[in-house]
Amino acid sequence: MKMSERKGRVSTPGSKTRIVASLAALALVAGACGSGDNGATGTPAPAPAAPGVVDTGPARCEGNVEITLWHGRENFNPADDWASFHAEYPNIRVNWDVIPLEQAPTDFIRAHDAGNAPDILNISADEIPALAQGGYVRDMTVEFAAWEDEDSELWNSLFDPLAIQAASWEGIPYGVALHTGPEWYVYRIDLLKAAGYDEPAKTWDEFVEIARATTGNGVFGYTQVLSRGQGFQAGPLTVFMAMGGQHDEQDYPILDSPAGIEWLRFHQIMMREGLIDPETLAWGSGDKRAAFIGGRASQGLISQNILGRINEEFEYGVEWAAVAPPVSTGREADWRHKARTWSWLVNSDTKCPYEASLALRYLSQPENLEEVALRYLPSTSIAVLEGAAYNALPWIADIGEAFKTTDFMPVASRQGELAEIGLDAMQEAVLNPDADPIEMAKRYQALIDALKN
Amino acid sequence: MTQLPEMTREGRQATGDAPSDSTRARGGRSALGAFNDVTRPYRYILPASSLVFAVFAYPIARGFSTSLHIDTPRTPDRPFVGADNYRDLLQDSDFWNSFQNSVTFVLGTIAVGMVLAMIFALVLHHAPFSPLKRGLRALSLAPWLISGVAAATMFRFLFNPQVGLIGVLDFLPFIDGGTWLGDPFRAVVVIIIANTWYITPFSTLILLAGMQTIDPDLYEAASIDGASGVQLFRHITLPSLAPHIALTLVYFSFASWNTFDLVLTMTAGGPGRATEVMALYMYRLAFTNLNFSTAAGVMMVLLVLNIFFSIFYLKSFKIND
Repeated sequence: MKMSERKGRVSTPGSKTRIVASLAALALVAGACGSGDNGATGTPAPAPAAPGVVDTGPARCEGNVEITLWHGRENFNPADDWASFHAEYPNIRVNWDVIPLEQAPTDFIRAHDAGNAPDILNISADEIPALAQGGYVRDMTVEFAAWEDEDSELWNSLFDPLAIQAASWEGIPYGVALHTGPEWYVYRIDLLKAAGYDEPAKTWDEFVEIARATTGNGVFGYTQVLSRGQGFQAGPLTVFMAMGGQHDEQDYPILDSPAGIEWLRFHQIMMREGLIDPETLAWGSGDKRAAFIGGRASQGLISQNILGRINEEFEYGVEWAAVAPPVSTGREADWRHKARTWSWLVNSDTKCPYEASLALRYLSQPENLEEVALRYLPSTSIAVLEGAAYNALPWIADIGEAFKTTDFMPVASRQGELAEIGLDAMQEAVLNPDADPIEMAKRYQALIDALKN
Repeated sequence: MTQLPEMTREGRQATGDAPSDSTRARGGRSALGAFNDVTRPYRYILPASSLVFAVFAYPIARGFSTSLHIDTPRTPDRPFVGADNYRDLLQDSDFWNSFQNSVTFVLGTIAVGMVLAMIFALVLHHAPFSPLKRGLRALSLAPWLISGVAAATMFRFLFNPQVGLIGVLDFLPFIDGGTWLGDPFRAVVVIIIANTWYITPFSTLILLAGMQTIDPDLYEAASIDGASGVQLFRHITLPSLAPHIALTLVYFSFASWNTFDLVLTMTAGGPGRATEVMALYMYRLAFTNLNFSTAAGVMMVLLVLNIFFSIFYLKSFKIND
């Protein structure tokens, strides 16, 4: 989707539908407020309007309201620390805490079962299907419709599909995805030039050639985490999709395909020919970037939030650069670039969903997103992506256009189990570099198929 | 003591007297007193046992209950499935792989750790100079006092052939400059070494404490009779240390079956699943797959294994208290 395009309303209801939806939401909110102790404090909204009376939007809580929020990383909290929000809404108090992304889903589920989960939860998009299927997060269609009505400028500043669709499951929005981590092909200009290459690889075949040419003297031609220490989404799937790998209708990757086989064979080549550090089989998530920043690798796919750190060691445009990942020869049209996203979802038991949506609006404000984006992770705000500060980053000139076509990483309903199978496949390939990748792809495809409904 | 009620009854029958009202009253008070006597110890330990129940028993009971249901986010109604989760586990090759890895890990740690702990304890016990002994004893505890993650990170560096100690030792015949943590067999060896290094100090302390309770006269008498050092160790030290050896085995076993942080930090269970021990497998089921019920099943299996081996060690060394 083009960045200049503006998304439509999520599940845009017609006027009649909207009245019904509003009334239904009022009833739901009233029910939720009366039946549990979960979620925000504050007096729930009054009973829904009588039938036939047109309501103006989602229910509001009366009196003082307390919204609790779990960030997955402290870095996600704006430097303003909610001061402007509290000034604008003196009756709403947002209390935030940091529950690491890795443990947030399980902690949230347990807290939800105990009736004391936060109103807003920050998680990786991988976990949305599980929470949505279990009814742990709230359908925010009505509140988002109100958002679009009340602050269309802010609503339209969000870059869909990354912002809304990535925080949805089966078409229902449960929150907003405000930050994203696309991976880019980074390479050392000086090392490539020394090996006789003036340009980065355009295809994966060239990528392997360059890896061969630049490996030696303590430098490897490729840096990637091939251990179980990093998730399947970060790294492995980016390579798979850049090779033209596709997902099926249930968002499971199709491993038993030419792209899937190439993906396995690519890892076998890297390990068999010693183009990648063999220690990568025991690396943690930070070792990939450390190898590149430490000058021990000539190429890799590295998340955008690390580019600033690389730039502290090497001069952009002189010693290193970043571009979109290569394509596979013969499958150029299948090339895809997708990014992981980090979402803020609303608890299904929250008493004050409208007020929770106000907190989401605060987090979505360009000034807050830009501040976080410049020091941490790129945002999904068009206003930020088109802003002067963001575009002043030297690598944006090389990756900005590709970012406009970046979509969110597909997530399957049984993403956790899928990730384990994907990591098993990749690890078997690198541990058995002479094994038949076609047979391997078939075998692991059968395991993936077994996960489907 | 067990004959006392009988004697009282017999005595009463022998005299042929029916108990008077005052005797009954005294008997009533005695019954209350006896009840108090019987329950007093339990009342004293009630606060502590309640705490233990809250901290240990309830989670275990809840975990067992969870393992009998399907508990995943996709099944919020949590249907009761009886032993199905256990049946699924027994049919899961990943479970058996983790079980096999844990057995290797536990046996390796016990084999290496017991020998080292005994040697260290003997050295500390026989160190001639008291300040040196105290210093060595304090120093020997150092590994046990640091966090598992820090220990694992240190071993990752040590066994990195490019920047670690292992790279410096590549002149040795069995060190070829290749990867250690990236090799399925060598990675197991490294985590056994790291775990042994990490938990041996406490075992050393247990054995050392045992050595200090052995009567020196036994050694003196045996020495006068011409016993050699090996004979002293075999016929006096080892038998006297039996309870402490049993406790050490329990500790080694318990700490190794449950090891998690070392493995997660060093290899994350890889390469492949070569070092995925049961605790790590349980973590993956719960935190990656969000399959809490099967993870609870693994927890129960681990609990049963720990209890079984603890009883086995204590019974083997004839420790009943």
